[in-house]
Amino acid sequence: MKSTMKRILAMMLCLAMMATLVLTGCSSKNAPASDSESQDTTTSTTDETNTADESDASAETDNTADTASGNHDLLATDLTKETIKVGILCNFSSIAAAYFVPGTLYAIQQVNQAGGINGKTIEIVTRDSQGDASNVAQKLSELKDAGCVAIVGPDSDSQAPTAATWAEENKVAVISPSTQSTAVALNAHSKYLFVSGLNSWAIINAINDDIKDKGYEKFAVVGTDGGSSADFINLSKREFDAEQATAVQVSASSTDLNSVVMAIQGTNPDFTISSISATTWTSFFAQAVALGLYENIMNYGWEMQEGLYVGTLGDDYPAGHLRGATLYPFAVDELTAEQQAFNDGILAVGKEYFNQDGLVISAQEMSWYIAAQSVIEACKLLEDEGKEYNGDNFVEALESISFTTPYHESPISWRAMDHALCVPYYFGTIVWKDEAAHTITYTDTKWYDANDILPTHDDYKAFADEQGIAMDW
Amino acid sequence: MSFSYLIQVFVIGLATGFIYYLTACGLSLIVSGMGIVNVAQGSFFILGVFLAISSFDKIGFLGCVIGVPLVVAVLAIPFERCIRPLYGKNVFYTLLITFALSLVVSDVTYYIWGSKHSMIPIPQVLKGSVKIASVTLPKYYLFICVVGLVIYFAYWLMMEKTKLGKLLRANMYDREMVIALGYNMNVLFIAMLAIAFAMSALGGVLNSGFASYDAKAAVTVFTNVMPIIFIGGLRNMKATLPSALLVGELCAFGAILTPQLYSLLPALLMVIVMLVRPQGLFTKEAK
Repeated sequence: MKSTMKRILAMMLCLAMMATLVLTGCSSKNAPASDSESQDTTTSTTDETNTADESDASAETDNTADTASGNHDLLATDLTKETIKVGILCNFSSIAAAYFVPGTLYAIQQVNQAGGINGKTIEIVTRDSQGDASNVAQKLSELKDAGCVAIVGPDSDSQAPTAATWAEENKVAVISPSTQSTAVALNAHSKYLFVSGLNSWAIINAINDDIKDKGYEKFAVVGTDGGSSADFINLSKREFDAEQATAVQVSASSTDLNSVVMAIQGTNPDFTISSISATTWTSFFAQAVALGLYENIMNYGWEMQEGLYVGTLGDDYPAGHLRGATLYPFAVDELTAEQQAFNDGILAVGKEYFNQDGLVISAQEMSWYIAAQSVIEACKLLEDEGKEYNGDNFVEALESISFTTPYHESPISWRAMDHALCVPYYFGTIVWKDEAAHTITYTDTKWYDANDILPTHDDYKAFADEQGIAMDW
Repeated sequence: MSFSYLIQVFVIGLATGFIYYLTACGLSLIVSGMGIVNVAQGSFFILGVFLAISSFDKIGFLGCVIGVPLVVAVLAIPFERCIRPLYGKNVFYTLLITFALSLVVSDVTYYIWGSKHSMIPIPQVLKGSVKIASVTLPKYYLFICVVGLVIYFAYWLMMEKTKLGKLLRANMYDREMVIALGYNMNVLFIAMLAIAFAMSALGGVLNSGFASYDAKAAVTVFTNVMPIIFIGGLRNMKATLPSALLVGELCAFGAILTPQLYSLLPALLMVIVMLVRPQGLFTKEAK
């Protein structure tokens, strides 16, 4: 009786919350059931474990969603066809997944709609890492046990070393869309791990090239704990002629950053480097702008152009003071029809899969797209050559493929030495395209050839010697 | 490092302390008045953030500052009903149920607002900075300092000069006696929770002018303010403001002196205080 009462009370709490929200007219999202204009259908996946572990990915589709291709059965796998299972490991418990995973889903949707690979469709199996590195190995094992031939994920560079160790032990190809750090390349080197994000050392080299004639004397770095932030701190200190005046590390969930801004301001830097993201990014820049940090100086980084950040900061977005590298220059002035369709397709897939309105383009989508496209290309190669799906064959296939995207005319490939992504780096300053409408574009842009800025084997060796790391490749 | 810079750091540290105070004072009231640690307190802060973001276009900044805390305060009624069966039982029961309720509120928040994170625009009158002597301070931060002080004195007035305050204080010292005098303790607890939730929601509204949060950040908010409560003294509501200001200054100067470790300092101070002066830095030892 008591437990029934508790359940009723818990329900009352939820209902009271909902009622107060409705009363204030605050609901910003149309729930499918209340959307009279939509004809919601529910599709099921062929893998029960899939739906069981998806966070918000309830597999509900909204027929009013306008995908680029007009197909809405993204998750429906044709049971009459043989499937190739591909795993996705992401922090589905976080808001980040809705800005990452659509890139992967879009690539898979496209190949499935085109008839699959050799008559086989790609079937996705998802697992939620919950942002916890201690979950990574177990979730990867579950994906392997589910029959996945390759895995896209995890999403965080702080989880990549764990994934690398697991991949080496289990001999399964893992393509992580995180930023590639030297911690992964040196401490957790694995022939089965590929990283489809930007390479932190390459970003530092690009920034170093960009600042070489500007006479800067001092700079400051702000980064989150662990992951590639350590590279931004250590490598900038090592490579730049300018002096590193301070380097502040904050936790990934920090939002009260006035103290950090003041600490940086006290060093009078000529420029800053940031390696932060999500709510930490928007909070840091909101407070930095309020305290006048970016009135006269530039911030270099790789995470500056997210559509979400622009919308969140609005007038306070420090346009003109953000410069850096991206794989996905989605805000270029003149988009080609193919690029526009690509952007629209990713947004539509995100809306459909995560059942959310108001999603905006995220630069991370490209890393997730490239990861999935690499898996698809590798599968095509294995099918064409009639080879068995195993870890070694998959790695060999990944090392052999090359492909383009609507944003990259030069072929994308993987470097065998460290499995760094060889992809052109777009470098520029974010400025307002239309300040009133809060739309952005780029100025003072250039492309870097990955081979010109990625670290060489000698670079790795010298760095490993300095750090006392045993480098065995 | 110039003197004027150090003064500015000090002033920003104070402003940061007031920001912390707005977040912590609601939790402090519950810990002091009810003797429970409400893990769900951060959820009402986050709810305040998202309600403000959604309703800003309709009711404006002032409407959010007044209206959102009132709406969130209503949730005290079902919340109190949920924890009522566990009054007087082992503290772990209330910890667990408030943790569970935190997850429920967070998930409902996530269900409604999803993956968005945003901020509310600061009113034009509060934008920009003022220069006092050689110190430049954003007007909005000054506004938060003023609101923090107003809330501190409003708390003081309520506790010292109103019947509700007297009852709340009496409850802290001798709950059985208050019940014996015929007062309905459940109603008193609902009032206490309503004030606490409203304060947290107000903290959320004001914070959303310069910080963004994700819908599931409730536990993070809770863990950020817990050191303030412990450092001040667990059952001493008056100690929350000086404790929050101390933590604000600790972070401000800590970020300059130990930039890679500064975020650990509040927790480190909490551990030291718990070992050396367990009743809290600003609380007298019970005789």
